Amino acid sequence: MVKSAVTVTNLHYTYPNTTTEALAGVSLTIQEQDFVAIVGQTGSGKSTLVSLIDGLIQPDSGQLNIAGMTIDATAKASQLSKIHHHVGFVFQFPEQQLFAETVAEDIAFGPHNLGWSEEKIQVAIDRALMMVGLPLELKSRSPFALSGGQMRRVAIAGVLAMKPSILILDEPTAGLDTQATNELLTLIKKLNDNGTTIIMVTHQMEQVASYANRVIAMNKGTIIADTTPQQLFSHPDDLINLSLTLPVSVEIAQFLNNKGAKLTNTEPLSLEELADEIVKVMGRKR
Amino acid sequence: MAGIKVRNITFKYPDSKAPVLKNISFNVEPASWTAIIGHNGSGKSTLARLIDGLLIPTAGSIEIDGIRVSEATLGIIHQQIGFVFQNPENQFVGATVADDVAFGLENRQVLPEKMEKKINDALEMVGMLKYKDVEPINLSGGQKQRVALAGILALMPKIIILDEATSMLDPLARKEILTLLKRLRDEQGISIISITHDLDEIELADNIIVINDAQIVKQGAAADVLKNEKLLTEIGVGIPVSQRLQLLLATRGINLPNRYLNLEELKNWLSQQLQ
Amino acid sequence: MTNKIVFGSYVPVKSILHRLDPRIKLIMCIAFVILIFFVNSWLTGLWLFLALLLAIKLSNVAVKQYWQGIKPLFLIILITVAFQILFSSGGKTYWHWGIMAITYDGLINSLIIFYRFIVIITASTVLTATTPTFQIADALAWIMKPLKIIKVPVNQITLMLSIALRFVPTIMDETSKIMKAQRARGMNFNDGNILTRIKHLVPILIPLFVNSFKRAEELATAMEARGYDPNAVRTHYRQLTWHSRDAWAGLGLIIVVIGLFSIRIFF
Repeated sequence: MVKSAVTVTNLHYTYPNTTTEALAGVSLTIQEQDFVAIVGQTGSGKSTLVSLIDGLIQPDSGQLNIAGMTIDATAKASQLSKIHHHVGFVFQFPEQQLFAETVAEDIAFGPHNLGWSEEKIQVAIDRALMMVGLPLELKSRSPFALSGGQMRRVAIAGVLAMKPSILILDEPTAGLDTQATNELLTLIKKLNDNGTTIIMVTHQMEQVASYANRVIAMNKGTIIADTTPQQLFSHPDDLINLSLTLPVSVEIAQFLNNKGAKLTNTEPLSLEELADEIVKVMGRKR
Repeated sequence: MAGIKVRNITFKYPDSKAPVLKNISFNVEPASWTAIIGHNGSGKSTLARLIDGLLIPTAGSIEIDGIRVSEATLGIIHQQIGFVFQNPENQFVGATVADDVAFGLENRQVLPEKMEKKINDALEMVGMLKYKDVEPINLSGGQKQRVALAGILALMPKIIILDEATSMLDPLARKEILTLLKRLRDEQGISIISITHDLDEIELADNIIVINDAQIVKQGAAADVLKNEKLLTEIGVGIPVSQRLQLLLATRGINLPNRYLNLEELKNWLSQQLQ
Repeated sequence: MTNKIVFGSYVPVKSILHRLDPRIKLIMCIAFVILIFFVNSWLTGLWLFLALLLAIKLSNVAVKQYWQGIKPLFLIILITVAFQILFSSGGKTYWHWGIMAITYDGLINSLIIFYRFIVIITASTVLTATTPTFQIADALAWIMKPLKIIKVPVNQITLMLSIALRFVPTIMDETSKIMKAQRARGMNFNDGNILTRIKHLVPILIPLFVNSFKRAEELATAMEARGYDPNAVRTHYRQLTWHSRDAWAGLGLIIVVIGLFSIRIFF
């Protein structure tokens, strides 16, 4: 049986000193081991939603159920901080939050805050470094002496060391080249296969198409679509209205059909699927 | 219209032993688009700074439109070349959009009464005129990069260098900036040099220079370089969508034309086949 | 979208004060602060207070918004006032304990300090609420112009100042982002004694410094690429021009000054 990892019921949130609601009544359930992509324009409420799920801000009204805890407007700060034992959050450009003198100390920061024993922390550091594909020799180096790509990995290791069962990532591949992007996404996929629930905020529709089993589209503080990537891409006009793009495979398929080709699958989620589809139609023609 | 001639340049930081760039030579034709690609740390950003005179080569020479880049000619060089950097936030100097566009004009000692029109024209070109009095905190990354471009265009440059200028933008903003740059190249004859690892940006180039380990390992027409999947994978850039799809189709037994097709050309070719 | 009022931030509404030249506003603000030290009686105090109320009224910014701007500083004012009450002596003593005492002079002194604090902070808030920061920088540049004679690099200083002001919101944004990220890594700002709390600043301040240095370096390169040369002459896009309304404002200031000294002499 699938268990729910996060349940959100009618959440409302308004930032202090502002008038418009950043979240205007959001409800959703995320199942364990889901790979959820959250898409939407800047200011659509996606960052607010994931901040609430990580207990970084407290809802004005509504309820959040996570890891057996219930968070609402009356929850205490100590309750909110307990969420960090279960949820990890990789912010955008996480390398900008590194601070410690050595890589090991930086990675240990999270586990240390959770009150783990020293032995447990040491094991966690090694494990996290191996997961992100960095050699253990780097442990004693200063994180600021590393390359940009390595710094990003160290920052992610710092979150993974806390062994979160739910991992939130905000544009984790921003600024990386194709190879580094693919490596990072492979890692995230592997974590997901091993049981971690993934919530990924992204603008990259190719990533939504290839990795997510579910996609949530947000606009003006509400959820306007909670569906499969395939379903979402079958309404291209809606996406364009939200300033979102189509994955290139879908875009090509829809371009071809608009020109009179008769592809049956108009939302191929990968170039492979698209190629299969094209071959099918060409075969029919011969 | 201006061309660039780079001859045998080598660059070494004073405190390091190994040169960042070794014996680099190439030409950039007027009104062309050149992409410089390579691993992080391959020296491609350094090369961009050398062309703009922000760094001075240890050996070799660079000529912009016949003028040799040196300490003495920096004023002229900076006027001919506009530079857009990676982080939109860290190149926005002015308190408002108009002030930021004015910054370059102020440095050129343009008279205040002549600035207004130049600022308006430049902002109009990048579609940011209605944001003229907006402060940077209320702009998105893509909007800030457009303002950066406006600041450059106000000075009527002949060359624009983009140093990973779209890498921090979301896909839509990136697409918009690239469309804008294409228009500038076609309509105003501005040469574009883009340091990038974004495949969409690379595909727009006429010529590509591949740098690895401080040296040029390949340079030539985009069609030639983009067909070299092995090299592209090696330097971490990856294979462009058009080439990946062609490979997939070829392995599925489809006979493709024997020449290089970019994404537009491939889409059109496919649509003809599928009629 | 947002209507955030923090101390010293600009409130974008329309008013006579908003339209005034920033130079006259800066002069008025400085003059007003100086005048406060000439207050020697209830009546002179009231006179300046009325002038301030008029400015608030003319600024078209609600009193409530001023209060929200001043509120964060209120605690500091109260502590200062309390110290003044407890630790100054002279006049009749009403209560004492050890070195602490409440005396007549102490009460009067603290009242004066309280008045000065509130009026000075409110007056400067009127300036910042009605004048965008870059205009204040322009006005400062104008006021500092005479210093050029003694070789003070006024142009560089004002450019530095305006860039610093430009980056204030950026750095505030970044601070809250870093704090959020470290809290997500289980850090609890409200835990522990003073020493642990000070230690909690390290994971915030280090990234903030590192990022700021990187920012500064990139900014310097970008400025150079855009033709900036600190030693060269630059023109200025923003030209300040005097209007008749600025003369009227100056006249208003003169009336306040004359009024103050008349009250001092005749009452």
